[in-house]
Amino acid sequence: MKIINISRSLYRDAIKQTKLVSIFAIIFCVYISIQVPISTVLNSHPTKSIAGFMDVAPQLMAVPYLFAPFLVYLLFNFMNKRNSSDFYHSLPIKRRNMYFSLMAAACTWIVLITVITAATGMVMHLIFNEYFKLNVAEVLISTLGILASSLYSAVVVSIAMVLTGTVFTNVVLSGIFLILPVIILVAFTTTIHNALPILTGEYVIYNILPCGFNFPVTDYGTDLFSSFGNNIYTLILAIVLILPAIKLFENRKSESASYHLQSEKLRIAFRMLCGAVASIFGTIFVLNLFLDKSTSADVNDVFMICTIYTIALLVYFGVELFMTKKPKMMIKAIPGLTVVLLINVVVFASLYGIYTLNMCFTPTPEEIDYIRLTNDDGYMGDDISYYLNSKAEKIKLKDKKLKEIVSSSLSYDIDTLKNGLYYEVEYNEKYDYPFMSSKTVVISVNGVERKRNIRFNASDYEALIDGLSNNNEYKKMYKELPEIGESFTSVYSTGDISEKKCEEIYNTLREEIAELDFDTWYSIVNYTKGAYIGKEEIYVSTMLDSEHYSIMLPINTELKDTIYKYIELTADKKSSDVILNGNGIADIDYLELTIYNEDQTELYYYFENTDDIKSVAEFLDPIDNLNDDCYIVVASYTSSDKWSECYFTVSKENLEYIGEVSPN
Amino acid sequence: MIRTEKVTMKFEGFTALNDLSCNIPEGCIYGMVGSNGAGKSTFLRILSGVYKPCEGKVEIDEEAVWDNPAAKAKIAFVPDDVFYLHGASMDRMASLYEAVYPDFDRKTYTDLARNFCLDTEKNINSFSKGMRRQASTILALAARPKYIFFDETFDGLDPVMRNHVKSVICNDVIERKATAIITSHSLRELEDTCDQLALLHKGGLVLESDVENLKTKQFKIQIAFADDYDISRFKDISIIKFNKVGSVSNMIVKGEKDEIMHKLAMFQPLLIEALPLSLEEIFTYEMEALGYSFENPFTEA
Repeated sequence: MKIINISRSLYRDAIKQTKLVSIFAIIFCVYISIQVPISTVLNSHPTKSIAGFMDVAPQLMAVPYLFAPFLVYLLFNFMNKRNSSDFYHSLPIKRRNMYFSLMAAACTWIVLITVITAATGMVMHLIFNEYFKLNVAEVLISTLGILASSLYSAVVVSIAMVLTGTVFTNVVLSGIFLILPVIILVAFTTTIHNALPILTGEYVIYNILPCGFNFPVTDYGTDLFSSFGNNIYTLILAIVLILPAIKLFENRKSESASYHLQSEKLRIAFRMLCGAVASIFGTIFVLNLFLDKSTSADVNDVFMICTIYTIALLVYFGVELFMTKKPKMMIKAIPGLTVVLLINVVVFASLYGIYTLNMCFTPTPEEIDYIRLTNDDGYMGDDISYYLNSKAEKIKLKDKKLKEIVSSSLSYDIDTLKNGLYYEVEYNEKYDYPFMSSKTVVISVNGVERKRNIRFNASDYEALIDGLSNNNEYKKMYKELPEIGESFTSVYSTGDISEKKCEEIYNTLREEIAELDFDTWYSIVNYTKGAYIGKEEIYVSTMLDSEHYSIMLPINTELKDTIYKYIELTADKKSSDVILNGNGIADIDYLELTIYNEDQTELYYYFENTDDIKSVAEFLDPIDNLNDDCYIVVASYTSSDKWSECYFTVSKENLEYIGEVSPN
Repeated sequence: MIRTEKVTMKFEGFTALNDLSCNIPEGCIYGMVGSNGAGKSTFLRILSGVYKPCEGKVEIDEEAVWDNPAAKAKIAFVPDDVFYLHGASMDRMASLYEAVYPDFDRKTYTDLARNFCLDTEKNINSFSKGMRRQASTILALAARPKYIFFDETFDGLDPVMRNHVKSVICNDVIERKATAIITSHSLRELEDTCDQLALLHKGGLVLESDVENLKTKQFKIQIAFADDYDISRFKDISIIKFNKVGSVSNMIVKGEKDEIMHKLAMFQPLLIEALPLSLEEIFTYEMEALGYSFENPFTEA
């Protein structure tokens, strides 16, 4: 027996019904996907950049929030009128199959608009591959996210429409279902985080429920669709919600069309929900005041509380009046306020409970299994250190001293929170402000990990970082870069360097750092050794734990093999010949030398006189002679308005002579 | 056969149908009459599977109707407020009907549309009210269902078109042995079309009978005698209503006409005449006998 049997005729008709708006939406989205990259290229786009989902098809964000709900509204609004509702319910089609047929039509258009738009955007960025490096993995994952979220929206709106019978209640209940979870969760987590800044990020409840784990509770600040795990979670949630949606649709009463809600019980529940939602913000405000030990409530706060609760009462009775049109029903609605009050009490007690539980988490060093240092507070850019430190988050540190530091610092932070002195850092001797640092630490106790944002004084912080960098596992991991092809790793240049050459340079770098001692490499990564050269940057695009990283390669003067390979593959030999062999020196108008010496400082010299240029040229050697007794020179010159750059070496002893010749 | 057993339907405290039981045989045209709010439309919607009754059982050919496509495929329902898909033409609606009703017949559809002079490619929403009803009737008939329900379908039709539609329905029923249920608040509307008639009042089935039986088994007699007399003279005759003015009496009697006339002739009246009753009059007298006032069905006599 088939569980699902889509009625082809109904499906076809539903497609026809929504054809106009869908085709218009597709055309609009495709136009944007075509127009934006062209516009970017035309508006002087000199360097290559990585193109992710927000470059390829950002307009698809409107699909789960606008397009999908609107489609479902069009298909299911027959339930809002008696004659159309009776017509559909009289058809010899099983109600379940009717639901699937209509949803299948909505899904068809959703898939079409998403796939066509994403494909168009990707093709455009591939066409302009001179300017864009397409992050295919991220685009595909985000497209999946759009589809999963759109399906979720569609199902949730269909549930709202089955429960209601007018446009007003369709929209209000859909809005509540779609937006309320994230609003409530953000309100809750913000409250907790404001009271407990030791909790990491803004969107955590008891370290278990971060926002962003699925579409219903994802706020706009997080990477909405780029996490594969989150998208799968959303998809599963959407599929699970189909079951109650079908059940409700099967039991939908045709006679409830044009009534705000299907039954009196639903009307009462709806009224209470609206009242509870409106009043919860007042409760959260009260809780915030209650938990904030650093200040006390004043008249303004009391006024705000009274205002919020008054609005909540107006919403509560206003909803009842709107639905029944009978003022006397508002009197009958008074007892329902006890339920609203109860909900608020539960919310208050729950949040206070969460606060208290977190405040009680002060493990002793003996209770801590291990700690991990996270990269949550790291600079999120194209720095290789960010990638390497993200990798390092997995490393478990069990050193006793480190556990003691973490335990005592956490306890201290909690004490200052209790005393309302958390923000009085300037007067706190422990922190030695402004040398205080904070770090997000994962603390494992009895196999359960919890994240805490802890503040450390300078010495403790240094001890933590040293503890990590002295860890053998860390040292090994720190020198490992992914192979090309592994974890979607690819290499590209923002300039004219071909992908093949980029890969050669990258492979050379990987091999070189594998042999390099840790301290040298660590210093290079943290900008305390060597100098970075190269007019054209090379990037590595890779994935780590479902996150995308775009890392700029450290073409550093300490990495001799890499430097040599880089210059060999990218340098313009003819330019260097001009200076080395004296050909065309007479035509050089201006010569500038940047010399990377052993102090990691860059020395700049410029020459405008041909004789000076000739005499300086004698001190420059081809880059083939790169060794420890010489420095790398980047020479830039102009000749007949053409600008060139080339590479040389200069021996340490000849550096002084160059300085003597230079007018600066 | 349609069978309902103690069907009750309530809407937010209002009882639209109360304990309604009936059997509607196959191959008949069943008329259902009642005032506004009597429950006729609700009854049809329950039979069509649009509404689910709060209590009771509804079966068509011994199958429950609710959410049963197999049973619903045998039913076509023409409501009082017809609905068409947005922007649809008759052809588009016919395509939908053709896909969901297994016995839908294109030729019947085309012939009927031509018969009624309706443009099948035009947007139905541009039709007049009467034309929309005709279109709905055509689509329902073209579906060739075993059971076809018309809810106040003839409202909005002109007299010529009304008769035309009635004849089409009758021909269809006769030809295919289908069963039709027609509701109206006018007995005159149903009188010459229906085999069976039922009267619905405040959600209950008050009266149900064969039309032929009703018409032939009740009639009016006008009789006059030279001497004085009263109703007791006619104690052997089943009299529903007796009204005497002077020496002339008007009686509504029930029974075999010839037999009653013979009996009355035995009394050697000065005048005796049998007059037929209209269905409305029959229903009125039946209702009065049951204790209802038909003129104002909201008031019990």
